[in-house]
Amino acid sequence: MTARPHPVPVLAVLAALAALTFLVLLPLAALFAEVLDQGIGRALAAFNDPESRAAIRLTALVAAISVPVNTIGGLAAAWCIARFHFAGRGMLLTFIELPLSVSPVISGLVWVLLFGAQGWFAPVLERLGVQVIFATPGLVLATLFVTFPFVVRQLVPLMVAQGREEEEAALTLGAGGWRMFWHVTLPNVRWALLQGVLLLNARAMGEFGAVSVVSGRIRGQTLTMPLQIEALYNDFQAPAAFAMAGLLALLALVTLGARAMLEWQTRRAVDAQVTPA
Amino acid sequence: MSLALEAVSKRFGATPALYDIDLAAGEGEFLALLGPSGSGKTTLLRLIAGLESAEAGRVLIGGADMAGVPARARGVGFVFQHYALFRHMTVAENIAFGLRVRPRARRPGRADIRARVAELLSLVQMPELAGRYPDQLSGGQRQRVALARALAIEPRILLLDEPFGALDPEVRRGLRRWLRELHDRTGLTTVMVTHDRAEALEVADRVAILRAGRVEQVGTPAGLWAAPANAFVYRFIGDSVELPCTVQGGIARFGSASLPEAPCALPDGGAFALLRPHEIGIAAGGEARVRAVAAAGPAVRVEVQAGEFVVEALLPPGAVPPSVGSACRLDLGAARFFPLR
Repeated sequence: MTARPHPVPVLAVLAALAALTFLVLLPLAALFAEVLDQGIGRALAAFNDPESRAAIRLTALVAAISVPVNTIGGLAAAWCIARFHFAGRGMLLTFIELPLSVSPVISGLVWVLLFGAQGWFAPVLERLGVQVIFATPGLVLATLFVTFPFVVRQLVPLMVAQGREEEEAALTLGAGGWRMFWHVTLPNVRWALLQGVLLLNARAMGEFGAVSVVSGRIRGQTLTMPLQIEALYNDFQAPAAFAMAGLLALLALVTLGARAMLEWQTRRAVDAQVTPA
Repeated sequence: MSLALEAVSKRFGATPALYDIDLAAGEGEFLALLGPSGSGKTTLLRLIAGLESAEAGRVLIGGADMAGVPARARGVGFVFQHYALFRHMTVAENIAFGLRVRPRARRPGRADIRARVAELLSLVQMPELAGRYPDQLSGGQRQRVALARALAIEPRILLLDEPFGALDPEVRRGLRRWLRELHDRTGLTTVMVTHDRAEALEVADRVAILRAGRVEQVGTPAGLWAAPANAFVYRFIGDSVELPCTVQGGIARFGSASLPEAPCALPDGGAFALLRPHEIGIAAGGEARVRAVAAAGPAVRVEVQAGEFVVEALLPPGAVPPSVGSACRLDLGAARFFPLR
């Protein structure tokens, strides 16, 4: 390349670093300092509380359902959007973004409207004896709604850029739909898909607003980790709240690290494609 | 195997892409589909492969109607314009793909697949590159891998979509010759889409010329050159000079004292004459003037100002070029006349 590197705008960089430190690193450091200050032993003791354990289990369960469902659903949606031009495609793309643009409270409320005691499906649910709102199914639904866009948003631009020629080549070579998917479609988007899944997982475990509406806050039953943290904090059990928050933040950091590594991987793969041999 | 298209029509939404196409390629024939972009040639190729479906008409491969037969069961080798190699597979894995995805009953054993891949790699002259990934290959190498991959399934017909479109001119010429040799060796019925007339006329046994979704003419390269069916074909298969004229009583007049009248069989009315630059004769003395002479290259290119027209002529090799500014007259005896539509 002949282009000279731009002079580094020192002030702008300093401002960005200052903002990052003040807004992100400092609060995070404060959290971990607080946890360590109490002593690791006390922090770990907080996890012996049965309610806290239930919250962790519930969060794991919600994530264990949301992640595969939205991975498969997101993959299917992204494939349809990227490969076919059907009526309403643009609208579908817009609606997929909806959970990201609408307040999480609303993402929870819509489920109350549908499945709550006065909701549209209340008679059906009553007859079946199934409780959705203020129970695990409601938490799962709210989480599914909020986390649906992550995989789709990662995949659509990539799939559009890659085009459908490789899939068509697989078809003309005799591959059926499934073989095409396993051997061509999926491997071509695997890194982006993994990134989407990581983000989806992080949000599924960390979601507060939407699940707080449908939770009903029954201790030991419908409190996920974020809700449990708030409950502990409101009960003046700050040490336990911080311990739990530390665990959640740690999960987020692990996700972030994994994502950074994946991005590095992907960039390497893309570079290899751009650079001719 | 033979290929036949009978009254095939296709539209994309409200836009018609192909009108009533009848076309056939005999066993072992090399047919080129030549046309400008948007003429429907790629759509036609995709219809044959089963990647698009026709609104009307039939596609027959080896005499069998392909209606309802999906792309994967048609046994066609398709080489895509941008190769469409599987980017996460090595060259060898790419070539083996079509064999590996066969149903178990028809799938060759591992050793057989390996042998077949090796055979194809040597056929496309790149045995040492088996372990490379597509992004580590040059354009010409990718093209040959794509071809080997298509040949691996022992296709009944081979379809090539602008096979040389993305390559350097020099690489193109070499690959063109190689492709023709390969065709002669394998004897596969081949259909190639191209917008490059030199490519089509040099490689194919017969050329179908398409415009705006219709077949304008089908013929051998020599036949098309000798007897173009209409002005579009005439213009499309070679350089041409176009001169508007008026026909009256069997004589065409160009409305300029410096262009000679010529006999013309068209009915009275507006028309135009088409000539190949090398068919235009230049003689000394007359109303026209030599504007420029370019003597570099095998033939001398002469630009003549004849009234309001600028006519470009090619003199045969060895001819003495006229001097710039000298008076001359043009011989338009070889002109073909076409009516204004």
